[in-house]
Amino acid sequence: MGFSTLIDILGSTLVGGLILLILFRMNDSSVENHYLNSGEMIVQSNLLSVIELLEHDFRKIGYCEDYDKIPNPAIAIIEATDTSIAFQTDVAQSEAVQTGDGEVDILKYWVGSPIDSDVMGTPNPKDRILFRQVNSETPLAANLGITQFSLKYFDDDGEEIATMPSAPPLGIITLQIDVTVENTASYGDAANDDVYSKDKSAFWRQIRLSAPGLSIR
Amino acid sequence: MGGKAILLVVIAFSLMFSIVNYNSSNTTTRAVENLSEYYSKTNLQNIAASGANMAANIIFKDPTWTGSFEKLPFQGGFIDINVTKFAVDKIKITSTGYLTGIFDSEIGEDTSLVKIILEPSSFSKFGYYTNKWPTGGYLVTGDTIDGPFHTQGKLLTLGSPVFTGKVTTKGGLSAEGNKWGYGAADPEFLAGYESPVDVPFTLNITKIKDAGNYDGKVFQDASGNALDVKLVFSDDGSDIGVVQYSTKLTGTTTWSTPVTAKLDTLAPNGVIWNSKGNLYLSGTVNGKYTVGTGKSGSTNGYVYLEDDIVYRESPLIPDPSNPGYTITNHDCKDMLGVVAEKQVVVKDNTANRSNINIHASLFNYDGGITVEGISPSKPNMGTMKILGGLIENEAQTTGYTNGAGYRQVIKFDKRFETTTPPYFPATETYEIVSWFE
Repeated sequence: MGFSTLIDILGSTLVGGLILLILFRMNDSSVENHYLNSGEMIVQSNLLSVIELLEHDFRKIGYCEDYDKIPNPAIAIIEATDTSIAFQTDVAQSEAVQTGDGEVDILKYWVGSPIDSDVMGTPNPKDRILFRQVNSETPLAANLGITQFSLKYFDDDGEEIATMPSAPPLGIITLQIDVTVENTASYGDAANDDVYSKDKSAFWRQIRLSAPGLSIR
Repeated sequence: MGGKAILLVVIAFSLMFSIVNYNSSNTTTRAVENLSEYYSKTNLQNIAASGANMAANIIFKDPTWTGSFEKLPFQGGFIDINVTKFAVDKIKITSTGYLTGIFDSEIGEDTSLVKIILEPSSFSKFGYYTNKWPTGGYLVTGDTIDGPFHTQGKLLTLGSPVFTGKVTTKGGLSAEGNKWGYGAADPEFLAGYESPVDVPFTLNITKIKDAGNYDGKVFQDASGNALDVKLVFSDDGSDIGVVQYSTKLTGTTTWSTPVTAKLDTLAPNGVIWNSKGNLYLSGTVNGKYTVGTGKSGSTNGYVYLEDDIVYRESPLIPDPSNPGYTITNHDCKDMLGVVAEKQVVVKDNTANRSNINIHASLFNYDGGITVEGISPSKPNMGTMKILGGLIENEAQTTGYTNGAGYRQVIKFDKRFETTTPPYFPATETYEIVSWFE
């Protein structure tokens, strides 16, 4: 009786332990998958937010409600580098009223450095802040995990402009926009350099964006 | 007892799997929603833009068209298109796209608006317009064309000439290079190039003459003979300047006694037109005017420039932030359009033999600006500076490479981008001046 009971207890403990191990392992896997999926979800959402913002504003390059104030759209892009762009536009009056107020605004986009103090606190060593500034207002900044914000400019022949003129017209007809977004903080072993880019990185490329306002008149 | 425990374990596992599955499905659904929403928004935007393009295409073919389309099925959605005229001759196209898709994480219908404004295009908006491109004529490395350029012919370039304004051609482009030491074929279109674009070379004489008869000044001989008119503009220090005019029958030599008139009295709407004959022009312009002459036969229809014709106030001033460069002087209110049914000719006289300054947009309907009696044996006459624009049927000679005649510099007056001299010839077509989406 005593020996048999002992065997039963040991057997039950063994089986129960195995079941518990399986349970813990499944819990770990579940949590990991959840974090990974959520992380990818966040990356995708952030990327879409960036894209929608850029497309919304870039479509309006050279637009002004009082169109006589930008009589020559060819000079609407006033500054262009591989990580920044400034152009003339007429920003929306409000979310409800998307048309401008008829005054020419200067809208500028640029990305900060991955070693800026604002992003040094995030675990991801490559993320940068995207800045959006209207005229001389305080720049609006968002850390959406952008690790690449690259602009290329093309002339009327479709050739990339290698040397940008010092002043408008810059000869830009179309743009290529490359954006890569990663999680600012990711699930995984931070000691592994590739932890952010292996499966939590999303890349978007607008091959040729041509703002309608650039090619009118 | 053992059966109950197993049952509890199974229930617990099922519950756990359900939660995991729910979370996983939820994440997947939201990811798909994100993608679908972006697709819906992009599609909706394209639907509205397509409607605007369709309407613009109809207007380009028939500029008199106005009308609307309602709930036009397109690309899985619908378009409302409305085309209206406003401010006499401007056209507004509104294209509203409708699409049922995923918006704000829910299935529903959303709208998108594209709004376009079109205006009649004036020839004065061109820095240089030439109807015909001369056979074998090239713009070469070192040439700079300032302001918008158009030709109905085929543009020939050699090397890398620079175009600072938008370039349009009907006949296309032939870019050649590595010939006669001009380097590789690389024309620089800093504001873009588009072809084929058809801007027919037209002149509506009746419109200008009617404007002159209505509230301007029309010169014509009572007997219907061709008449020569001499206009000497001058600035008398008042807000509106004066003009001294005299006439003679074409082919005769004696001018009538000059009459001096205030320009707001002589031509309140700014149009001074000679029905047929020639026009002799010089002086300092104070105000906005279009002057010109019609023709009958091949011996008249010429505008002769007897001396400088300049604005009272320069349309260009030094750029304070960029030494050595100039910017548009928006205080300058003077503007001149010169219309020759034949062509503009610089008189070969003492005044013009040491440079000539021309502040105007010059319209040459049957020829191009030239110099009286120009030939390779003529002396050097300095520089012909045109600050405004040049519109011509075909380029003519103004100088030779041996130095005879003028070296020509044409600088586009940017004020012509938005303003035109009164009743200056229009292209009879519309151009898009604003695009909102």
